[in-house]
Amino acid sequence: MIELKNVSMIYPNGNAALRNIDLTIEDNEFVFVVGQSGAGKTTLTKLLIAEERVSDGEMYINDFRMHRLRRYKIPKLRRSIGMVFQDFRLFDNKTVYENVAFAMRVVGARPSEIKKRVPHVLSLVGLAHRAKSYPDKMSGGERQRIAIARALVNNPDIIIADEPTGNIDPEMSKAIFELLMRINKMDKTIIVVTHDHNMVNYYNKRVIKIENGHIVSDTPAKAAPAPAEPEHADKEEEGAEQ
Amino acid sequence: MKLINTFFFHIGQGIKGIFRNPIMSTASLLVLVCCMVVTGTFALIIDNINKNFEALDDVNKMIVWLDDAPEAEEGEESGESAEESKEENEYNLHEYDKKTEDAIKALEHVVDVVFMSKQEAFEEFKQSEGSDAEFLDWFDAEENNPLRASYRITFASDTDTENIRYIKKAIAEMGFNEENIDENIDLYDNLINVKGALTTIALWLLAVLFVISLFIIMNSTRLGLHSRREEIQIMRYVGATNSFVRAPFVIEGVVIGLVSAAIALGIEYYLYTQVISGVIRQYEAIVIAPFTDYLLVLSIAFAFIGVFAGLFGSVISIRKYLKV
Ligand SMILES: Nc1ncnc2c1ncn2[C@@H]1O[C@H](COP(=O)(O)OP(=O)(O)O)[C@@H](O)[C@H]1O
Ligand SMILES: [Mg+2]
Repeated sequence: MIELKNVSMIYPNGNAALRNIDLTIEDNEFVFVVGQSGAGKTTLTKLLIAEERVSDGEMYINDFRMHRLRRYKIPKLRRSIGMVFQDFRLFDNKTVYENVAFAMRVVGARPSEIKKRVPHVLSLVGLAHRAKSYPDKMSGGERQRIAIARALVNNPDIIIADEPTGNIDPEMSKAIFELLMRINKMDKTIIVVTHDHNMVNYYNKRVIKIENGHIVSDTPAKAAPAPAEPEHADKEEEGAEQ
Repeated sequence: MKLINTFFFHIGQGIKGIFRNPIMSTASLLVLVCCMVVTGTFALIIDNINKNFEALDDVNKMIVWLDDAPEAEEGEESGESAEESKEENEYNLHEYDKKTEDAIKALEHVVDVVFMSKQEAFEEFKQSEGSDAEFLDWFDAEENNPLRASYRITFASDTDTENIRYIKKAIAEMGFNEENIDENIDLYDNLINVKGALTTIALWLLAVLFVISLFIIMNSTRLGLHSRREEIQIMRYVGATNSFVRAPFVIEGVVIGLVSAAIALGIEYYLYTQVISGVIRQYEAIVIAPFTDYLLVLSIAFAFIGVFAGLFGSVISIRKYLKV
């Protein structure tokens, strides 16, 4: 479970990126985080992996007390969270297989374990046949699936994706969201920051909207489709992000 | 098992790191080798001086010359009174005297006292010059022996100049003229000065070269960290521990240090057996210790310098560069 109580995050230069956030995300939930550029969404993901620390308030992720987390515990925290970024962050000089295996090596996994687990995860994301390819020769959608495989390979409880389809053709994006939905069914909490309102509306999951560092709406999944966002907000966001 | 896997992974990464930036690695290596060879060479020279110092007989010896007794006073001495001079001069300054010998022997640091009579001195001289030497035409051991009798004093090997001065003073107080007491304090001092100067130069060179080595290793590590910053970022996102991130760089530094040590040892061997020994050998009497005497201690010292520079240099710059 992820729990934020009155959390604020102010950058050293004085930018108040998040203010008085109260938020609870249950295990195995699927959450969309939306909002304009500069709203504080990325800052929220950074808090979740302790890349930035809360300036005020309390924050818990499973057993980790994030507001007073010791440095040496950060690696352990990050092994329970898989991160996926807009820019993929892959090694272009390593094969698909090596990219995924690297995450297991980093945590000291046995070679035999790696040999078993990596192909399994690659087939899960539909890239088993590309294991020996290099990422820089692959499409955005494929590269993001490598990144998802890497995030998944150490079997974390939580997957956080910060605008995973931001650099991907709209046609390919659907496959990424499908994949994240599938992973969610494998008992993993999924947090997806996105601008893709079509997808947000299509999937009917919980949607947290951040504006100016505040949560302005938190809409749970409903049987009926979520109400559409005001039109002007849509335009502004798309314009700002590109 | 987990540790072993990780260990080999790091070794591989560390060695890759060396070849990733060959110029910096070579620079680190060269300066480290210089540092070791210069220090090692000085140490070897100093130690050889020490060894020769101990072997040099003259240094640990003192000679007290006995003046011939003036003719006029001879009667007085064997005569009845003259209590003053007897009190002042309880030691016989002109002939062998057991009391004198014992008194010198009793002084601290003196291990041996041998009396050499005029006749013995003459024989020794005769022998050193050969039996057909010209002086034999002029002098005779009994009749007109120009040589003086003496006490030959040997010191313990740990005697220093201070001790020798003290012994000289004590003997002078027994009534001997200071001019009649020969020692090698000057030679002693010279040797100590040379040793001191060499040691000072060696230590300065060691310090300067070591700092340069550190500086280059630090920069080398920094460049490595910089060129791999994205890789490091990914490592940290997937939960690498600080030591895991650090390890390849530290191993890189240590491997460079150890390779430097091996190369330095080879160069030192060549320098010592071919160059230094050759130069020293020209000064005859000097003994040169075999290189094997130093092999172990040099290996350990070089490895220590290398590992220390590698560890220290890389760890410092990682600390400065990464807020891991
Ligand atoms: N490293 C930083 N230092 C200072 N301010 C920052 C930093 N990163 C982000 N910010 C500021 O914090 C606010 C939130 O940024 P961010 O979380 O990246 O927004 P989003 O991901 O929603 O676009 C913005 O005003 C941004 O300028
Ligand atoms: Mg962002």
